Amino acid sequence: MVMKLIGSLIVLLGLTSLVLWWGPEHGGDTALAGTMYIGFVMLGGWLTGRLFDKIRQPKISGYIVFGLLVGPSVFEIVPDAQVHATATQVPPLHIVSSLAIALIALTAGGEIDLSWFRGKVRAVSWIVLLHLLVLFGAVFGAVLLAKPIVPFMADQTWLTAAIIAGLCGVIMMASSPAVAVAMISDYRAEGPLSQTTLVVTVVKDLLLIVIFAGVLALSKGLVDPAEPVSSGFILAVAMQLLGSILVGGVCGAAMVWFARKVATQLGIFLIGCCMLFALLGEQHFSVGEQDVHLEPLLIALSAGLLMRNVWPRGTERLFHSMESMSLPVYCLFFALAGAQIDVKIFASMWYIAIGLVVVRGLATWAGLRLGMRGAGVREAWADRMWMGMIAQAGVSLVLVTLLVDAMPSDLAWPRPLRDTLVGAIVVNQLIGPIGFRHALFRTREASAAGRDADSAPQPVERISAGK
Amino acid sequence: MQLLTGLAILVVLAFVASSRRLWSLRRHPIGAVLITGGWIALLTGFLLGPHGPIEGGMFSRDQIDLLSPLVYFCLGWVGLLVGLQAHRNLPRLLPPRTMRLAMMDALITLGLISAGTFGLLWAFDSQHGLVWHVAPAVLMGACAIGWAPEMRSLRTPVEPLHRLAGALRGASGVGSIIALVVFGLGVEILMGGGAAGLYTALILPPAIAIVSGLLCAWLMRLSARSESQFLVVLLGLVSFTAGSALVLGGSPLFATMVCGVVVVNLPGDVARRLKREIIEAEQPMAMLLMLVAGLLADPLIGVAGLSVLGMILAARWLIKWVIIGRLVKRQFDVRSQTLLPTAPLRQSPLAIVLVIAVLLSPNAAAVSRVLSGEQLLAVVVFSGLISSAAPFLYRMVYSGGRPAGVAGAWS
Repeated sequence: MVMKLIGSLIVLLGLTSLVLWWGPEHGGDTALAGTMYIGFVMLGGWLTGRLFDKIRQPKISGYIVFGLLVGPSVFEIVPDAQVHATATQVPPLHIVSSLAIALIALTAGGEIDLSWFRGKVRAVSWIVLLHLLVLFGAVFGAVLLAKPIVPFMADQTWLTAAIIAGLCGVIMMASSPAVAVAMISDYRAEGPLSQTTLVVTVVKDLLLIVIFAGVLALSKGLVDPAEPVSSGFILAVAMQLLGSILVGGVCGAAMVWFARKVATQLGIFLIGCCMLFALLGEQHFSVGEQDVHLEPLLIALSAGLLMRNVWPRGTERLFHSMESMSLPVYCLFFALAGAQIDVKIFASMWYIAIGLVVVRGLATWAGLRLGMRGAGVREAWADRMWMGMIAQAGVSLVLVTLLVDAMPSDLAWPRPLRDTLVGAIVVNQLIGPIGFRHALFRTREASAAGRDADSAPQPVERISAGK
Repeated sequence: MQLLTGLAILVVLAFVASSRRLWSLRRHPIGAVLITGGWIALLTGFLLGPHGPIEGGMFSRDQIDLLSPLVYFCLGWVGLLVGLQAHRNLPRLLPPRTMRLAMMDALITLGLISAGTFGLLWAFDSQHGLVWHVAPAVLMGACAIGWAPEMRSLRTPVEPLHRLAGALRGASGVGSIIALVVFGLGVEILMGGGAAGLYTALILPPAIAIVSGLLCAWLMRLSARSESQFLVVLLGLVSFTAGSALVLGGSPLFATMVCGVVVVNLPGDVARRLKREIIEAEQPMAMLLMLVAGLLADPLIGVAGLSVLGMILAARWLIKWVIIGRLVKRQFDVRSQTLLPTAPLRQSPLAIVLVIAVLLSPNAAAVSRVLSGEQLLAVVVFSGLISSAAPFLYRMVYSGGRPAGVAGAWS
């Protein structure tokens, strides 16, 4: 089987290279290649994922590695213009990725059972709180202590160093709900580790958006005297969050209505909804002097949460449709995430990035251990939960970009800081799924049977069937 | 904000359109034609598009172009659907007379309508030389080949008519294949122009499509019985094949059709599974393409457009009436007055897809000097709309049998 998969990958790569070499040479147009890249990345990611599965590694790592190899930083089969959106051009792969984020968030919302959560609010609060505090504190302290040996911090004042350390702390707090959802769904994992990891990741992400907005506003106010910390910014963030949750609620209600009353073509309907969420996120509004936009992730998450917990009747088929659509979405999304990895950036700051990864890993382990003890959880699975919190992906990268964009352009440190953080995220992105897979198998929440369950016929609709 | 308003309107329309009450309207033949034929989606597109009643439209041409990767994918889907009909046993499955009739229809329609369109376009613009009118003329000819495969809205449960419906549907499939071949080898190459265009569009996209077809069958076997893995292979290969053809200057429709022909003629049950998946998504694909047609079509076709439209309608009706006479009177014993024999009058929905493919191709500017691509699309849309009404006109004249039932989208 391994040879068959490798052979198929070689044929796919050969065909793509032939088209890309021949087309422009003979009057073809690579600007139209977006549709081809979608197919190439989806198929290549899927084949590499299966190959990784055969060598007992997570499929997600396979998707990411394929993206990394064919992306602009290594073999450049998929060029930079197809991977990164600019102010004037949004490549089709990027649009598909936005849809994927919405679908993943919708699935994450639908995976959270509030009735399970209700009895464990205290426990989850302890876990999240202590985890975040220890993580932030450790990263903040480590970065501040490393000031003399970090090139872009050595010449800065201690106040600036504290700001940099604070921003690093916030970014390193993020985990990836997408990886958690994808792996739980991929291995059909069930049990306290899967459920707690998912809930903690989602709650952390929601809190993180608020914390990030606050820390960013404070940092901007401290480094840029022209823009002191304003109440307008805080209000704008609050409106962004509440608005997104409200819109998500309305969308969720509409989706429930469709699932109950119409109940046909659910797969296509879901794609339409995800497209709507992504487009809603592109719309900008002005609140005073602040620019506000809705957050597609939050919209989809609220919609999924509402459908699962408030109106569960009639939405089961909608969630089944999501499940059947998940594989193509994961292949595309994670392969694109891999393609966005910049190896050069990592090479220039690798030692600082590795340092951050180590501190984050240790702090995650210690924070979760403390949190679990505080919550009174002493089962064996609790000791392995930290492995599910290592992965970082899209949200972290978006936050880093926002951070750099928000800082005054005349400052010297934001760009090297971005490179360092991206480097650390890349490592976490690659090792996170491996750790989580290990934890799921060791706690027996995932099994070889679960991994192979995909080969068996499933009682779910297909994307195209929707009925 | 304009985009948001447009989206909100689309969402409301989508909800209304998908409601069960509206679906019940499909039991009526006119409702069936309007809803399942996609004409309501087309009207919606027109109302929101740049040529609609709203100044500038809710969606500009640039915004529609943003949708082009999705439309290319839909075109690939349609191409694959047509290609999967080209099983090597097709000539044996259809009665030889029906097969011959389908071939004759394709040849005569292509010749007559291409010549008629060419003549008219030349009459309106003789300054730019003959060569400029060849591509639109062949395009119109390809669009007029065959007829709509949907039969249920015209059917009555009478035994001989089942066989007639099967024959008409089979002949329509043959017509679609011929139309796509003419389109892929004729129109695209004429538009690409020159030997280089001929070389890349004629040889490499089909070659890539053949390898993609083989890869498709291979990967589908690798996906075993998993539905989600099957879906990855299907979506991935349609996108890959359609996109590769575009990069090579070919047509996504033709390339995926070649891919479908390869898959359907390989041993195993891959083609059957593929066909099932493809057909299940037929309705939304049809609706999306009709919506895009509405967004793009420019109804102000002028005297030239009206002349071409009139010629197409007249020529098609003439050819199809002859076919109806030969097929129905000589081959099938249809004594009761039903609408089924009028099925060949209705234009194939593939016609609209062909013009959309031309409009979104990089060579769209070279389509015609007399009528723009958008106007050609409007001509085909009007022709399709008028021909869809033909069976009802027939019934008004002859007060024939009562058609009933709900139609599939395009098949």
